[in-house]
Amino acid sequence: MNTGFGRTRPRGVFIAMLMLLTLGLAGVIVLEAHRTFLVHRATAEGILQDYARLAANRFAQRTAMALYWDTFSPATYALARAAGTPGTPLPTPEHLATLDPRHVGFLKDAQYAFRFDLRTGALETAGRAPSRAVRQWLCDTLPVHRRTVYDPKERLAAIVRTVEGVPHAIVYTVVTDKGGAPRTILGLDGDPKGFESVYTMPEEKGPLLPRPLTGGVVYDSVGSAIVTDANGVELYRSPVQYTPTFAGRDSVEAMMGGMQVQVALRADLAPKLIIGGMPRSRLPWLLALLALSAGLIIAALLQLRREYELSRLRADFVSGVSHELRTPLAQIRMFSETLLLGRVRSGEERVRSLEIIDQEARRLTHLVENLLHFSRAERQVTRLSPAPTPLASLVSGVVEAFGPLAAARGVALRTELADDVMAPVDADALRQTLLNLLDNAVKYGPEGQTVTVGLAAGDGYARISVTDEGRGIPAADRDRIWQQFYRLERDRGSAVAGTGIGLSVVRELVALHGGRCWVEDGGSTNGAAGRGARFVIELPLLTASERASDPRPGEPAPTGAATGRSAGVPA
Amino acid sequence: MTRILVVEDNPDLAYGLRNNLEIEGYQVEVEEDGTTGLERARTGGPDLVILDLMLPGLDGYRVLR
Repeated sequence: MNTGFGRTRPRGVFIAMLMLLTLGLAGVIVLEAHRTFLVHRATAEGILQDYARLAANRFAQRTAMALYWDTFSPATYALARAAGTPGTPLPTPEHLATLDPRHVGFLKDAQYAFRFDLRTGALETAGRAPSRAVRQWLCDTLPVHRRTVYDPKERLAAIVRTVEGVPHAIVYTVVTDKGGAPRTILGLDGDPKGFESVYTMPEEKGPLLPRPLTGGVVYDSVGSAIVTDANGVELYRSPVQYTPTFAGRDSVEAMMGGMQVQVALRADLAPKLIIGGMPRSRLPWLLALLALSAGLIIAALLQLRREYELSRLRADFVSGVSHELRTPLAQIRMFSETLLLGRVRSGEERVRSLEIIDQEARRLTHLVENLLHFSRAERQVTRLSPAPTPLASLVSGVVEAFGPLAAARGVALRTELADDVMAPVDADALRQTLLNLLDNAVKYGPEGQTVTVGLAAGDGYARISVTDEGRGIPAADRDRIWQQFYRLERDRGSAVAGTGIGLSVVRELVALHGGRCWVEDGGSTNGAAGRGARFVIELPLLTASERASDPRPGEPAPTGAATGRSAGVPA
Repeated sequence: MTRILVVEDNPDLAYGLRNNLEIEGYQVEVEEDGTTGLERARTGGPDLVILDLMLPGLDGYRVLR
């Protein structure tokens, strides 16, 4: 047994190590997988940010183109034609609109036309006159803007700016003198809010993202836009706005007003834009797997520990059984040999020797019975034949038979038995049960104690108790002692030999009767060793089939009436 | 007379041993546990000790040591 122990222990440690290693590896894999996911997601998000920036850039470019061709260029062209020559009167925007009805768009919203003389700094306006502050701003801004932004090849430039809380869209062209030197700035002041048609231009003219990327998503539903002027005042906001998770900014070229553009991509477009879709986190699954493997490993480790425990208990059991067999055998042999050799000095000694032989033989019988019950319980083949039995006589019979064994240890047996308690029991099984409890009480209790056997009825149950005056059972052990091979720590390896199966046989037999058993505080006050222990078994007064058919439980079964229908015997 | 100390906790076994040894003509003393057995072996100076191994208190091995 010990060598087997020595062999299984390192193997168990090896298995435990392997499992912990597996768990560790699983943890590392989960970590790695999650890290890979994070990297993939960051890449995908980076790509989407780039796409958003690309969309903003395309939006800005398309706005600049549209403004140039459809709005600014025709307006400045008409203005230059009408007032380009020096000395010609400056037309109002309304007048210009009548001259060229094709380009009414911007002119309709224009407040006034202006002519700024670069040499004198004189500002002439026609239409609704601008405020003094706006005039001042125009005079300050135009020469600088012309120098820094205006491109003579393009022949026009625009300033979109908010002055005194009012947005202005100034578009101008520079008229040169014969020598090519800039002389006059001709321009119009319009409303930048009138550019909405430019921002909402159809997708076909300039999709926000190249079509191969979007896979043919129509119009500008790939993203939403917000346009602000250089001061940050909002000029346009697309009717649909997407949360700017993936958003890019760009600006319309300075010559075309330098408006700021922000484009937010539609979130559910992400899977279309990223090949294979957005990477999804597998973390919940991975964690579930990890938890599952951890659970399995814990279960396996517990099982392993239980196996060790069991093998240790079995080792204890075998040594306990051997010892319990050997002691009575040794006595039987010694006294029978003594008798055979005639080595007795008196008749009294002779009787005493025979008594001991008889008593030890009984003890052996009891032990073997226990082992048989135990092995039947292990194979689950125990068959009981319960018959209505007067319990008081059965109990007192057992106590009487146990008398000599108790007397050998100086233990007094006392009974408190209620009469007329009938219950369907298997007499042999109940006898074995009681003997086990009595044997324990005498074996583990102090010498000279009184063991009390009680019998009472009530509540549909007969209750038999065995109370000793020993040290009692610690509360923590009160459930475990009913398990196979379990013995109290204090009794292991002590002089009290035991097999660890007695109580498990008790529990098995009581359960087969449909009853239950437990141990409680003995409540003993005169026990020197402790408060004692009271082992209680509770047996139903009716058989299982009677309980099922009788609507009034708790009534004792009438004698004789139940003989034919006993539980455990299949009908 | 040769004196024998029997250290045995089982009263029946002790009884049998005592009877048999007394018939053989030895003087027999019985102790029930290891502690008192050891005590008696030291003070009484028996010629022979018959020692059980599983004993309450000190077990046989520890008594021997």
